[in-house]
Amino acid sequence: MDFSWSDEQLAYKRAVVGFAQKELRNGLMERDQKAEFSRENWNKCAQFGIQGLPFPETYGGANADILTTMLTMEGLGYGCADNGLIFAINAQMWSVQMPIFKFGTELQKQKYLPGLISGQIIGAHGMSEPDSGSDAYSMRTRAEKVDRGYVLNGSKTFVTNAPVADMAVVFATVDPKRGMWGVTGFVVDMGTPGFTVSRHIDKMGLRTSPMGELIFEDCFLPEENRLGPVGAGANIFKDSMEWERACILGSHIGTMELQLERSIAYARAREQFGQPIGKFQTVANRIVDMKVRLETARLLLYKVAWLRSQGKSATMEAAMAKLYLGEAFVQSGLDAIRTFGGWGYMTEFEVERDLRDALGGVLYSGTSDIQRNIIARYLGL
Amino acid sequence: MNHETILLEYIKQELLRGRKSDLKVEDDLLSNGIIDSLGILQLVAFIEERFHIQVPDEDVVFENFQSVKVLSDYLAKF
Ligand SMILES: Cc1cc2nc3c(=O)[nH]c(=O)nc-3n(C[C@H](O)[C@H](O)[C@H](O)COP(=O)(O)OP(=O)(O)OC[C@H]3O[C@@H](n4cnc5c(N)ncnc54)[C@H](O)[C@@H]3O)c2cc1C
Repeated sequence: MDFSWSDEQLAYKRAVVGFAQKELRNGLMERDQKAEFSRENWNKCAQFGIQGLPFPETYGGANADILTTMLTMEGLGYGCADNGLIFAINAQMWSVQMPIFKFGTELQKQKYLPGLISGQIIGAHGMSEPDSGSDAYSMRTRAEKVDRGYVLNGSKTFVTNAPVADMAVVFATVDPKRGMWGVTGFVVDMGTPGFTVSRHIDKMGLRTSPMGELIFEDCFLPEENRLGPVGAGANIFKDSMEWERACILGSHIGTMELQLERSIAYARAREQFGQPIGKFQTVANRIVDMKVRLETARLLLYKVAWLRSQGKSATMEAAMAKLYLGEAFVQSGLDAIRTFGGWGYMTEFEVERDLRDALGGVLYSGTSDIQRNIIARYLGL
Repeated sequence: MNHETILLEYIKQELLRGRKSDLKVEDDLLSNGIIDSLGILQLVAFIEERFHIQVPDEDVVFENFQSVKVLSDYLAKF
């Protein structure tokens, strides 16, 4: 067992932290208030190489392994306070770029990957529907087979990046009676007749990541827009979710580390009853718990990344990491606010935003309840 | 033991756990919900470990997993 990172990996992480601290902090409080997405910062990340990290150089990527990618996300989470931007980038990387890279035809890869990686275009991922969330495969969006292609009808909701997207990976069923075996993936470009993006959906946290709905009304997609084989959509989706669960959480580790450091600094500086509040055991213990939670979360996540780097299936481990990190990030946000007292509750102190952002993490990519279901099943329950 | 016997035993013992002890190799595993989406994940993980093969994600389709018989025929190609 080797827990050490190479000098190269650590140097890259430091570079990412430096880049994020310098380049991605501008005007965040206003953007959060106005729920504004920064295309400028998205492009800066692309230029730095974030979007392309684990993808081959042929498509403009850096060919990094999963461990390095996850460590980079950790650095991004530590250096970049804009959790919404990081979330939006991860949503594209794992549920748009990765399925195209793994299941797409060479033509689809050539068409989309270089643009997505360079920041020239943005992608969204449509799975959830108004009537199907956790039970994703009970979707209503239909893909009816016609001559030379498919006609899609239905709608997708809670779609991250939808209002700013140039293309989307979407799932529709070719036969609702087949359940998960009818689910089929497609790529679709904005501007395709019958395909529209409706309203911007406002939300509690991750406010700088745009969200909307995708509507399909007799939308014809030629055969070459199908992603992977007919009926393989459920497995394509599962693969994306495993990547997303591992990597999106990497940034949470970075953010929790920053919350811990800020809490320690504040507990040492803030005095009440004639001494630093960190000298009160209840305050100290709360910060100790933050530290223990951070380290256990980190170990769970590194294990998932390691398993995947060995080419091993990690369904249960990814579910454990998603469950634990999602909940740990919420708890860490609460603990930080308690440590900062009333100041922690005030927007200007930039502590409360993390808690609002963290709550999304117990819902997206499968709620905590769903992660528990997966783990229970793997335990034979 | 051949693929069919090993798969039948695993599905009966681990995925069905007594719910359908008379499962046959030709029975439709998917249309009647005998195996759900989580069950498929477990089955693929079992196949990969037991038979030392990597099932490509794009091969996890109805046509290859519909019954123990169909699945065994698919696995025989490795
Ligand atoms: C910030 C954010 C970004 C998102 N981005 C995207 C995106 O880009 N693309 C996309 O397609 N979707 C996206 N989603 C949607 C997300 O995947 C769904 O919200 C999620 O899958 C839950 O579905 P639901 O909201 O319909 O809740 P429901 O499935 O209706 O669940 C409601 C409650 O019931 C519980 N529940 C449901 N079934 C079970 C069960 N079997 N056992 C125990 N409890 C259960 C849930 O845990 C939850 O507490 C996003 C969501 C959020 C919050």
